[in-house]
Amino acid sequence: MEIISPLLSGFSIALQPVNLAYCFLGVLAGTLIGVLPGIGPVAGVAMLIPFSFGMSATTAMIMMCGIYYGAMYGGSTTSILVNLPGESSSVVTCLDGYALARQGRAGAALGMAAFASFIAGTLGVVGLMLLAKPVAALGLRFGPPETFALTFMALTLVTGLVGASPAKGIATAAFGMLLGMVGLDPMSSEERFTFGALHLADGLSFISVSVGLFAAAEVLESVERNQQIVLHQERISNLLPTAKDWLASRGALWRGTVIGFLVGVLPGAGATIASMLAYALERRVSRHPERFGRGAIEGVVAPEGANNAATAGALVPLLTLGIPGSGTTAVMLGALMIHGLRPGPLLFEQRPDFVWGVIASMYVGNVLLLILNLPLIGLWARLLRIRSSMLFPLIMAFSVTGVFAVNNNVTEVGVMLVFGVIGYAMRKGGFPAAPVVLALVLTPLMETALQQSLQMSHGSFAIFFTRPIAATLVIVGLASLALPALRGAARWLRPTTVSS
Amino acid sequence: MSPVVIARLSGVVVAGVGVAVCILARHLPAQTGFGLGPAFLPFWTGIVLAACGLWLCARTAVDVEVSWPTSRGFARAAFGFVLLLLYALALEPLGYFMSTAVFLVAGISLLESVRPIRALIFGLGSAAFLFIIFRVWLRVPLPAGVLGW
Repeated sequence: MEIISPLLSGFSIALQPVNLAYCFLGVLAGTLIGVLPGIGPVAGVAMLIPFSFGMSATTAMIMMCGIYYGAMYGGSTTSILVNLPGESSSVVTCLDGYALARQGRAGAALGMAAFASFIAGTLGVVGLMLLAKPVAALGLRFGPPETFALTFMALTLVTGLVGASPAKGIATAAFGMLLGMVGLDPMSSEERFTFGALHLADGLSFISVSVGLFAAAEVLESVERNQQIVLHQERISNLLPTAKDWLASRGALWRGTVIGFLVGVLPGAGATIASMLAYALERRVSRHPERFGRGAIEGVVAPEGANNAATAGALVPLLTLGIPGSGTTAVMLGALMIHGLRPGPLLFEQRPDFVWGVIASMYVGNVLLLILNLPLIGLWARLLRIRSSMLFPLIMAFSVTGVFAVNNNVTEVGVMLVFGVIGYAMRKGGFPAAPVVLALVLTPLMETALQQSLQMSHGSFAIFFTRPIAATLVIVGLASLALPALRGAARWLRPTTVSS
Repeated sequence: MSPVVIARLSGVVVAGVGVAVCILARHLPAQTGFGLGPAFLPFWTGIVLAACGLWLCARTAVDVEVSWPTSRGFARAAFGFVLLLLYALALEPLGYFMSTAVFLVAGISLLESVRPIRALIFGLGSAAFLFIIFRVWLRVPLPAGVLGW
């Protein structure tokens, strides 16, 4: 009952015409970003931040969340129709989704993916509502040592989970930390790594960095590959799943939702890992695992449910502790700070209109997405015929304009280009980009908390091990560093192929 | 170039950045009267980077995450970057509308053989669309250039 009244008040905010309009715009843009290969939700949210400058923080967050979960819906379309994931969390959907399309069942796969996304996305928001308050209450007990420990754990978890090589994950997080240190030291106001450039004294703009690392690098790589999309099935019919499809999918849907939400809550994991874990689990529990990869409907439902539930889960640490758990939520946190809002445990007390307005908008957004993804699926499929020769220059023109709008300064465009090249080189070398953005956003908070903690303890690092919450978080962080390092060391002793 | 060589090369770059950061951090004041000082975190982050770089150099495993472009593909990407750079440089002198239209026409022509009139319509139409969204609707003060728009 405690949540019904604020939720109703949240609906009164979410259903205001302006919020409804931007929720629709967000889910529409998100679906488009998900459908079109070449741009993911991180770049999509970062590129569209300049749109939000004239809005209230609530409206801006409603739009950004819409992009985030909208991209999860849209990603399945490309996976099923062209065997090319629209974004990374739909990679495993290709396996059975495309197999179903080749059997002439693209409509059933798309329909089931949309229903699974809707049900799991909505249940994920219920989970967010139920979990957010207790986590925020826990967050109120956080002092600087706990804040440092939490940011440390978020960074170490993301480095361990994003790629095959722990050394590359750690190196990219360290690189992101260095970028976060550019500008004034938070305690002494000493300039660091500015090389005398006045522009760098305020630090690097996370929008320029993230659009460069994700959008520009993706476009450069796509131009290099000169990839053309070939639609497998032009006419899509029978979108409503059969009773047999529903019966086969019900277990997969529940399991995918629970896994997706829990993995989403975990800092650093996110929708991609959630979808992979859900698929792996479904294959393991299936009585006929040999059907997976050959067109099992559960192989579409489990990852699609998981990646949508994960988006709601990822908002738990962001809204309650102010800690982003993924690249997209890191960009969202940066955008909220531009709007003068710092998420954290007090947000539920100080800005209930914001929190409940955003939560209620996610229910509305999921309904809008179901409408967009079922009757309009043919339209999204036709969008895949847009030639990459038109799409990539447009993405770049849009990115350049958005980045310019951050400070009305061409220097920001230069920063974006530099990080576009760095991001391209990172892709070629197999270095993940998500830890860079996460570390860039978290480092100022982490460094301030570290310095304050050591002032409290007169310089003793023991403070991180004598307080139970901080100690638990630091130990989890250290373990997440140690385990992949040990695995890496074992692999190093055996000269074999590093599998992803 | 073989994946092992690329992986080792990337290790050298990472280690080099780490060492450079450590050197730069040594020039920062170590302690300013309280806390750890502005050099502490950069220095240790540099050490971590250098260690990761050395680890990558020392690895003997074949890294499947590495992908080296073909010379033709690399040339396309390089040309795309040069185009973007010219676009950024032209924004202020030419103005937003004109530089964007030229960039879009050049971009589509780079990626496929398209009739000039079609490329022109695409460039001018898309630039006008972006101009209306950002300048007219969002009131972003875009570079004016010689034409004033």
